[in-house]
This record gives sequence, structure tokens and C-alpha cells, in this order.
Amino acid sequence: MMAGMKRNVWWGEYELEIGDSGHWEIGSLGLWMEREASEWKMAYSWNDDEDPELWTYRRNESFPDAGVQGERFAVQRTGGTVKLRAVTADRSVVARPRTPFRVPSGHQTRILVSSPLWVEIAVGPEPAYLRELPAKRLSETWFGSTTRDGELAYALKTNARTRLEDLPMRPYRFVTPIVIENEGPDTLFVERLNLPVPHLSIFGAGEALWSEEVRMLRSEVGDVAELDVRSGPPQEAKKAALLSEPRLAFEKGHLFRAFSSLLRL
Amino acid sequence: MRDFLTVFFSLDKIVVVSKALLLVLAGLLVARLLSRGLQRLLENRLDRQRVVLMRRITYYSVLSLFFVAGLHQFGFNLGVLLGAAGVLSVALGFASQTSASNLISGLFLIGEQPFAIGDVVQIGSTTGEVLGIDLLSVKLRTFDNRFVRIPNETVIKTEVATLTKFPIRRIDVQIGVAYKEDLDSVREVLCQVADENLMCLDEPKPLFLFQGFGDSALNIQFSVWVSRENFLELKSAIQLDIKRALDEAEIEIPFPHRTLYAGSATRPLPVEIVSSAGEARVI
Repeated sequence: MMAGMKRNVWWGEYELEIGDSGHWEIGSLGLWMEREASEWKMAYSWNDDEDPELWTYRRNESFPDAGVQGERFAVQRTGGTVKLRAVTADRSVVARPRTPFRVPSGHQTRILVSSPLWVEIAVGPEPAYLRELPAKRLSETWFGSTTRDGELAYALKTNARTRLEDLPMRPYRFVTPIVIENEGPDTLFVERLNLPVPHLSIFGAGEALWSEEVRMLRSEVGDVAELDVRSGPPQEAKKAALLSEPRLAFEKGHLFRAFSSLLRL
Repeated sequence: MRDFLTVFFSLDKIVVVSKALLLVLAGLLVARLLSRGLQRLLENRLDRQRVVLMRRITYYSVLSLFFVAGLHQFGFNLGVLLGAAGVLSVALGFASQTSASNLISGLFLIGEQPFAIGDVVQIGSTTGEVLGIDLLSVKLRTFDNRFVRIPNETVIKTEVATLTKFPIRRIDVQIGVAYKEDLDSVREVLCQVADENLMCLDEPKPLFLFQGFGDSALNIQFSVWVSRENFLELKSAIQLDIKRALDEAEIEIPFPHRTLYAGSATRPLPVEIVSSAGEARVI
């Protein structure tokens, strides 16, 4: 059943009777939830080779016995609601353009980067948070100039498109418009880009997911930029509704290492 | 007897003893309050180890002051006491050279801070989590759950590796492949293994290092980077993945070979062929 139960979007609430189970496929994540009188059973697995364009939801599909990670959540009495929410990854994402590009001094560019999101699972009616899972697992990476100084992040390959029409929309990804302003004295070579997604909100516009527009202002030689997150949905999705708040508070004018840096081993 | 008791329990004596006891009790109270207050004040400014040390120093200094004041109430001459303490400290110094050495090493350790409580360190042949850094010794919990006390003097003299100092670590895997194998293919297979394992960091990139021509194999070092939390898990997983990938690509991992050369001067080696029926025939 594709995008079944007359739903266009995977996030939101699902009703399950006692003894019923639900199975979702969102990105490469397979999620199973089964409701019993006083416990919720959860199972999940990832098929990392797949990059599906659609999401699916099926009721009462047999609960997997093997090949998945399983968990049980014991409560006094289960309510009938499963609530899925789209949230950002818990660490920054380092986007590596498949074709690196340069921004000459005194110029700016606006690119679109699409990053996988995480699925937060809660049950109701009184919301009880269970856990969150990445819709697509990303490899870890290190972003810093040395192996001592830097931060752990997720690695993402991106096409860094400049036109929305060229960007394939996926139900498990959200798009971040990034404006890179190079006011430094030299040309900026963008080989890797540090996108601090925990500072971003997620907005839903129909089936598409967006975050705020991010501005990175580079005013000196080096990899450091001043970060600014423009509040509200971007111009491409002005009427989008807020789905989730940022994980971390954002400080305006925050300086951070934004661009590729030479790693010294 | 009665006279003695009368003298001993005279009002003056009782007052003196009470004053001394009160001073010691007050000392205990003030030392505890002051050390706790100091701990709260410093908790967010210094690391745990230094806070504990400052608390102890404050506690025992304050207590000592009140104790000395208590002794003074008894009529002890502090000048004589300090003189005796000087002589005693020389005698003690000779008798406790090791302890003094540990104490001074401990002060250096606390000043230098090569590791902190909670770090995982390797001191000599012992690896474990640091439970405490005291003035005389460092206490470790090894991973087979033993409590190990290492004197500070030993720590200062020995090479110490702090395994949790930096957020990422490198795993070096030594591999040997047969001489007939194409090293470019081997490199491709190994890089693919690192690429597919999500725990392997994308950056710094895996390192493929040709180590030389071994007795039986081409020796390679393949190094991957990992976050320190995943270090142990990946150390095992990456080697299993490499073995599986090399088997799939039919790349041979050779074991040591020995060629026996009989030479023209020696007689041919006898060969025994055993049939399925178990009959042996010597050629």
C-alpha cells in the first residue's frame, strides 16, 4: 500500500488497536510497531543500499523475528496512537559536493542541500517519547584541521544544486537553502561544507520538507564563517508548517568552522 | 584517692578539657562546612580531581588548626611541639623516602594533568579507567574489573598513554596478501570495506600503506579512523569485514610457505599415495 490510508505524508498520528501492528518504510529505515495491552513492541532495520522515492505504511504485517533490532516498552496501559515526527540529525552534517566549486571574493551563491532526517517515535494519547531513528544511516566523519581539534559529524555527498527543479525530492530528506557569501580577500574553494543541522527546524510543505535558510558569511582568509539562520520557512515554501523545533538553541553571529579544511594527520 | 579525684575533676580542669573538646568539635564542623562550601564554589571552575584535592587540603588544614588550639588549651607548649615535630619529620623523612617520593610525584601529576578521573589510560602493561588520582597513588579499574593501585612514582617514571584524550582514534590492520595478487585490486577491496562500514570515518581517509616484501606475503597496513566510543567494536568488525571481502574477491591471504629443495645430490623424496580404499602405494 503506497503512502496508504489516504495519507500523503508519513509524519503524524496512526491509530493501532490492541494486537495490531504497523510497518513503515521511510528511506532505508524499516520500522515495525505492535501494540499489546500493556507494552509496545518495536523492531527496526535499515536497508542501506536502497534510496526509495516513496514511503509505505502497512497494517498487520507479520512482525519480523530475525535480522532486526527489537525493543519493548512497558507501560501500565497502552493508548492507541503512534506518533511519528520528522527531526534533524543529532550532529552536524558535512556535505561534500560531488563537484567542488569556487566562490570568488566579493560574490555569493545560494545552493540547496538535501539531508536525511531522523524519525522520532512517540506513543499516546499522553505523548510518551520512545526513541528516534535515522531514516538513512550516514557514515561518521571528522571535521577539523587536525585530529585533535574538530568535531564528529555525519558525512553526506551532495550535488549542491542551485535550482529547485534539479533537486530530487525524497520523503525522508529535508532541503536547506544555504547562502554562501565570500567577503574574504581570496577565492573560497568549497570542497566540504559543515551544515549545523541540530540548529535547524523542520517545516512541512505538502510532501516536501524544508529547514530555514542558512547564511554563511566568510569575511577573512580561512575556513571560519559567521552563521545566521533566517527564522521561518524559506522562500520556496513560505506557507510550510513547523514540524519540529531545533535541537540546539542558535546564537546569532556564531562563528564556526564552515568550509573544508586541510586535515593534518 | 579522694584527694586525687578531687584534683583531677577540679572545676578548672573540667573547664579546660571541655574547652579543648569544644574546639576540636568546632574544628570538625567548621572544616566540613568550609570544605563543602569550597567544593560547591569550585565545582564548575576546576576539574573533579583538583576539587577533591582542594577539599581535602582545606578540611585537614582547618582541622589541624583547631586541634593545635585544643592542645594549647591543655597547656602544651607549641614551640616545643614544633621542635619535636621538626626532629620527628627528619626521622620520618629517612624512614619514608618512598612515600615522600610518591607524594612529590603526586603533586607533579596533579599539576601536569596527563589524565583525569574517568579517562582510560595505559600505564606500563596495565590498561584501565582512572578511578582516582591521590597524593600517593593512582587507582585504576581494569577491564576485567580488577582494582589496581599504581604508586605515583611509577606513573611519573613510566610511559603513560591516555587512550581517551582525543575524540577519534586510528585502527591499524596488518594484512599479508600473496605475491600473485594485484595490489591495486587489494586497495580497492579494502577501501570498499571501509566505505561500507558506517563506523569508519569518512575523514580522515583510510590509509593504505605498502610495508614491504615479506617472507611469504606482500605486507600491507590498512588504517581506518573511528570515534573513540566505537573503537573496540570496529577493531574486531573491520578485520572480519576485510577477511570476508578478500575471500569474496578471491584474494589469497597466505600462511608462511617453506619450499623443500632436495637438490641433484640428494635422492628424490618418497611420495605416498593413499587411495580412497585406504591402500597405500609408495612411489
